[in-house]
Amino acid sequence: MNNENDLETLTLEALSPFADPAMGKEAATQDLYEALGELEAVDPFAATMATGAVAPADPRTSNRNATIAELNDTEMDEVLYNVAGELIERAETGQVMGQFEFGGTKASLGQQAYVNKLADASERFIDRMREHLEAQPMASLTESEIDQLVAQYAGEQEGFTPVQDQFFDKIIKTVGNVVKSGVKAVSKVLPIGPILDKLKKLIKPLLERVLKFAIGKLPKNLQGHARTLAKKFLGLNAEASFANEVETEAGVDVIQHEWNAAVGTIATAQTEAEANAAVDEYNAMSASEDTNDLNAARQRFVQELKQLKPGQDPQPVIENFLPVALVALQPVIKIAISIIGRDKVIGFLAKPLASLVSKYIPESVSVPLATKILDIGLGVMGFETSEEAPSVAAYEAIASTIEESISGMDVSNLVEEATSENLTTARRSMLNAFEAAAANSFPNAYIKEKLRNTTSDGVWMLMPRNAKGNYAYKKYSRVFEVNLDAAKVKSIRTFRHLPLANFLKDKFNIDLSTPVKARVHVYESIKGTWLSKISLHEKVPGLGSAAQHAWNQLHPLSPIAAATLLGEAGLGRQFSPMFTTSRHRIGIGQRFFYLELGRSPVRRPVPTKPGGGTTPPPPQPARSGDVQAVLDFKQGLIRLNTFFSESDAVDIATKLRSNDYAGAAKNIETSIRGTLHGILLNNVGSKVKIIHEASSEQYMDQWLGAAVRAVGGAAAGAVAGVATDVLKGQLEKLANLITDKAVEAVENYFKARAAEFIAAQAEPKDGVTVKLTFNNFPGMAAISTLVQAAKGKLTVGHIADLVLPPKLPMPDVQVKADKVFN
Amino acid sequence: MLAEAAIDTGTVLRAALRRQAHHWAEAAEQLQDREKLMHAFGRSGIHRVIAQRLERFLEENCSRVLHTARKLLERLKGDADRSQLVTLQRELLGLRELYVSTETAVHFYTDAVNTRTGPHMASILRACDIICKRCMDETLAPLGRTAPHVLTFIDRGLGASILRSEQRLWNGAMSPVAAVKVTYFNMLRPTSLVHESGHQMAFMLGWNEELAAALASTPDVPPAIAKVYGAWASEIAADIFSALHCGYGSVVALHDVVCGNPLQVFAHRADDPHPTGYVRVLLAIAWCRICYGAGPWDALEHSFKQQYDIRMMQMPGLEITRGCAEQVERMAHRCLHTAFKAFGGRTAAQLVDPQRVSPKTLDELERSAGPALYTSPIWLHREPLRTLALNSLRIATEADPAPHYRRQERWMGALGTTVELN
Repeated sequence: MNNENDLETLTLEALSPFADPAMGKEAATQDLYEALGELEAVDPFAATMATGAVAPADPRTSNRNATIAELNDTEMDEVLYNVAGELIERAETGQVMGQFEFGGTKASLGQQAYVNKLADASERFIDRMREHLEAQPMASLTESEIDQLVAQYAGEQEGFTPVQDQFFDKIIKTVGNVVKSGVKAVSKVLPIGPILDKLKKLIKPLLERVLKFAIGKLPKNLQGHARTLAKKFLGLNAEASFANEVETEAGVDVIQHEWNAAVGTIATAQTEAEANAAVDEYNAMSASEDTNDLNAARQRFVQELKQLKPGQDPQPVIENFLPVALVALQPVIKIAISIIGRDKVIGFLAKPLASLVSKYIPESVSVPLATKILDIGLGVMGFETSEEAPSVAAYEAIASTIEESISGMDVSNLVEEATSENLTTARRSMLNAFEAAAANSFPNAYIKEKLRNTTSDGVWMLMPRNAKGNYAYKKYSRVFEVNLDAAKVKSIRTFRHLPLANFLKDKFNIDLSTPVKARVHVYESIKGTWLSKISLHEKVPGLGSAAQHAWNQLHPLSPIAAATLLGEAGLGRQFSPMFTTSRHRIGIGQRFFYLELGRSPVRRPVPTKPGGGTTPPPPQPARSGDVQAVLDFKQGLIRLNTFFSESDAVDIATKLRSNDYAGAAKNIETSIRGTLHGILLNNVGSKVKIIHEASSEQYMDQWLGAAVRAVGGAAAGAVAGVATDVLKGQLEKLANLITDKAVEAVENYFKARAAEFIAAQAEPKDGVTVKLTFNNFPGMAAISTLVQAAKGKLTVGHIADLVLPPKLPMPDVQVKADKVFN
Repeated sequence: MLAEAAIDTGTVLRAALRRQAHHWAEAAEQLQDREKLMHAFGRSGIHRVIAQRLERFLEENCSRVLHTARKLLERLKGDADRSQLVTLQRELLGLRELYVSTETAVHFYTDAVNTRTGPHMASILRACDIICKRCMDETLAPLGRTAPHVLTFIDRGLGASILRSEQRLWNGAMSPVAAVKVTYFNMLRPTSLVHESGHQMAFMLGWNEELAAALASTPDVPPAIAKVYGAWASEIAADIFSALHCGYGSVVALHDVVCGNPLQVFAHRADDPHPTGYVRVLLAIAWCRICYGAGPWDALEHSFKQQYDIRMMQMPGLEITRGCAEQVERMAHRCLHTAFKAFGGRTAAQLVDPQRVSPKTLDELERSAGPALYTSPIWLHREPLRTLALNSLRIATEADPAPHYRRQERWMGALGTTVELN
C-alpha cells in the first residue's frame, strides 16, 4: 500500500457513515469529503458539452402541430396507463412465453390475447368506417353526422375488459376526429380511404409500444436523453424538476404524443408517399431495448460480490456495476462519460465506493448483516425468505447504497462542461450522498447515530421478494399504526396538491371529525417503478391490483407528511411538482404511502352500456374536487370550471335544502379557496387551457412549450426558463383575481338558484360542476400579450409588464351534474 | 363353471376398485373447474375478495378429493391380499363419501353465485351483500372485531337463512364466507338480511348464551316462562339486531312472514329456537313502543290481535304461548336494557342506538338529503342501513307503497354498483 492509498483509506474510514457494531465504536466524524478531490490527479479535459438553443419551429411544423393539438385527446395517456396496468397483471410467471406476432417482443399468452383482441377490434372498426365513407361524398358530411356514424360502431365489444372498452372508445374518437379534419380540409389532403388505411397501420405499433412499456422493453426513442429531447420537441413538461430528479420510467404521455403526432401527420398528408413515410417512421421508432438492465446488473453485482475471495478488492465488481447504474440513474451523464472516457470516469467513481463498502463484503460480516436485515423485515413484510444465499440481502443493501449515492450525485456542472474539476465535484457530491444512502439501506445498528434517518428500526427492502431479482420498488419494513385526525392530516397534500383530508372524504366518506385508525405502508420508487406495479404486488387489503382504484390510493410521502403522519420526517422526500402532479409520472427515489383503512371506498356510478354484456360496470373511484381555467381569446372570455366532489356537493346541497345559505356559501368558499385554488395554482401547466387563433386549443404545458421555444429563439436557453416562470406567475395573479370573483358569484347564485344545484346533485352522477364564464373580460387584450410568445415576439420584459384588470365583472353561472370541463 | 374358474377374484376386484377411484378422481377434476360450475356473470358479479375465497375453497377441497383418490390409485397398483383389498374397498367408500360431501359443499356456493343471473340481479344481490356487511361492521368495529364477508343468494320460500362464516360444512371444511339466503318475496324489503347477519354477529360475540341466561332469569316473570324465552334467545337476538338497525319497517316485514295459518302462529314447539309467531310479533312491537312511544305499531298490534285472537284458539301448548304473551313488555325491556359482556358492558340499545331509525329521524334524513339519498354515491355509501330502514318504513306505512318498491329496487341497483365491500 503506498502513501496515497493509505491517506485515502484513512480518509474514507473517517468518512464512513457506518457504525461498526462488531467493534462497538463509532469512528470520529469530520468533514473530509473536501479532501477527496486531492486524492487523485485527473487530467484536465478540454472538451465541453455542446449547448444551444432549440431552433424555432418552421411554418410547416407549426401547421402540423396545430392539427396535432386539435386531435389531441388529453385523457389518452390515462387509458394507455390502464391498458399497461392490465398487461402487467397478465404477465404471470410460469405462463408459456411466445413470440408476439407483430413485433419482436416476448409476451405471455395472456398479454398476446389481450393486445390482439384490441388490435383486431380496432382494425375491423376502421375497415368498416372506410367502407362506409368511401361510398358517399365526404364534403357533404356534417360533424353531427360523423358523430352519429362512429357512435353506431361504439357498442360494447364482447368480452372486453372495462379498460379495453376505454381504449376502443379512444380509437373511435380519434377516427371520428380524423374524419372531421378530413372533411374540413377536403381536396387539400389525401382522400379519406388512404388516410384510414394508414391510420389502421398505426394500431398495432401503438399497442406494441404500450406492451413494451408494460414489460419494460421500451423503444429507444422513449429512453433517457432521447426522451427529454422528444419532450422538448413535443412541448411537454415545460416545468422544471429539482436537481437530480429522474423519472422512474418513460411515461405513457410520450407514447400518447407520438401517436398524436403520427395521426396528425397522416391526417394532414398531401401525398400517399408522405403518409407512408409517417407510418414507416412510427414503426421504426419502436425498435426495442431492454430497460431492465439495472435489475439484471444488480443481480450480477450481487453474484460477483458473493464470489469475491476474502481480502479481494471489490473495485472491479463495482466498476462492472457502475456503467449501467449511472446510465439508468443519471442518464444525462452519458455524454460526459463519452467525452472524458468511460474507464476514467468509472474508475474514478468506483474507487472510493469500493473502500467504503469493502468491509461489509466478506461472508463473516455480510451474513450477520443480512440476518439482521431479514430479521427486521420478516415480521412485518411476511415475505418468504427463500433467499438464494443468506448474504443476498446484505449485498442488495450495498447495491442500493451505491445506486442511491449515484442518484444523489450532482452532475449539473459535469453535464455543462466535462472537465476533471467538475468530475471531482460530482464525485464529492456522490460521496456526500453516500452517507444518507447508507443510512437508508442499512439497519440503524450499522449506522452512526447522528446519521440515522429514522428512530425506528426499519429497513428498505427491494420488492417483490419472489421476483427473482426483477424488483419493481422498495418497501419500508415497518408498517405504522396511526390515528388520523383532522389536525394531523391538515398539512398533508397528495397528488395535484389535493389535501389528504379531501381525498379521505371524497374517496372513503371519512370526515375525520372522529379519529380514524389506519395502517400506513411506505414505499420507494426505483428505476422502472410505476405506482400500479406497487399496487399490483402489494398483497395488503385494498391493493393487490394494477387497476386504477388500487394505485390511486398511493400518495407522495413528503417530509411534512412523514413527520405529521409517522413522526419520522426522515422517511419523507420532497419532490418537485413535476412528480407530484400526476400518478403516471414519478421520480426515482420518491417515497409514497398507502393508508390501509379497512373502509369500503366510494365508487362513481357508471351507466351500464347498451346491451348489458357479460361483465358488470367497472368500479371507478369517486373523484375529488378539480378546477380548470380556460382563456378563450377567440371569444374574449375566461371560463372557470369548478368541480365539486360528490362529498362536497352533498354537504352544500344538504345546507341549501335547509335554507342555510350562509353555511352553503361557507362550504363553497372553503372548497374554492382551500382546495380548488390551490390545485389551480400548483398545476397551472395542466389546469389552464388556452384557446387562441394562433395556437388552437392547448393546455398551458403544451402552450408554454411552444412559447419557450419561441422565446428561446430570441433570448436563448436560460431566458426561456425565466420567461416560463414569469408567464406562470402572471397566470397565478390572474387565477387569484378570478377566484375572488368566483366565490362572490357562486354565493350570489345560491341565493337565487339553489334549486338548480340541488337538482344537479341529486342526479345519479359523481359530483357537480359549476361553470363560471367571464364574458367581455376586461384586459383580455393585455392578457393576449402572453400569446405573442407563441409568435416569437415576446420578451421576458413584456410578460412581466402585464397589467391585470383591477376589477372583474360578475360571471355567468351554470351548474351541471358530473365533471364537465371544456 | 369354467368361466368362473378363469376369473381371479383379487385381480377383478382391484380393477373394479381402480376404475371407480379413477372415476371419482375425474369427477373431482371436473368439480374443480370453476368455469363449468359458475357462469361468467355470476363470477364477475361478486366482490373480488369473495371470489378469491371461493376459488381457494374450490381448489383446496377438490384437491383434497384428488389427493385421496391418487393415493388410493397408487396403492391399487401393487398386489394385495384379501384383507388388504377389504381395506382398499373401505378406503374407496371413504373417497366416495368425501367426493359426495365435497360436491354438496361446492355446489352450495356455486349455486349461490349462479343466482346472479344478469347485471340487474347481480347489482341487487351485491346490495344485499353490502347491507349484511355494513350492519355487522357498524356493530362489530366498535368492539374491535371484523365482520366476515357475506355472499347473498336468492331462493324461494318465506324464510331467509344463513350459513355462517367459519362454520363446519358437509365435508368437514370451514365455510369461507357467510352465505345468506334472500327470499324472492322479500327481495325489495330485505330487512331479513339484517336479522340473518344478527345471527353471525351474536355467534361471534357469544351474545346468544348471555341473552339466554338473561332472559331465563328475568325478574318478576314466572321461571317456566322465562326459561321458554331463554330457549328462544338466538332468534330473539337476531330480531333485536334487525329492529335496532331497521326500525319499524323490519317489524312489519317480520309480521308479514309470521302471518300465516293461525295454527302455526300460535303453535309452540319445544325444540324450535324461533319464538311462537304470536309472541315474536308482539315482542317486536313492544320494542317499538319502548323506543319510540306511540306510533303506527299500535295499530299493527291491534290488527294483529284481531287477525289472530288468542281467546278464540284452542290447541295444545297454547298456555305457554299465552303465558309468554303476557310477559312481552317485561321481556322486551330485558332484551333492550340489559348490559352484556359481549357488548363491552353496554346494552343492545346503547350499542345500536334505535333513535337513528325512529320515524322522526328517518323523516329528517329524507328531508335533508332529498332525492339524492337514493342516487348520490356519497349517500349510498354513508347511509345504506338507514335508507333501507326509511324505505321499509314507507312501504309499511304509505297507502300506496308501489312507488316505494320501485324506488327501493332502483336504490338497490345503484348501491350494488356504487359501493365496494373492500
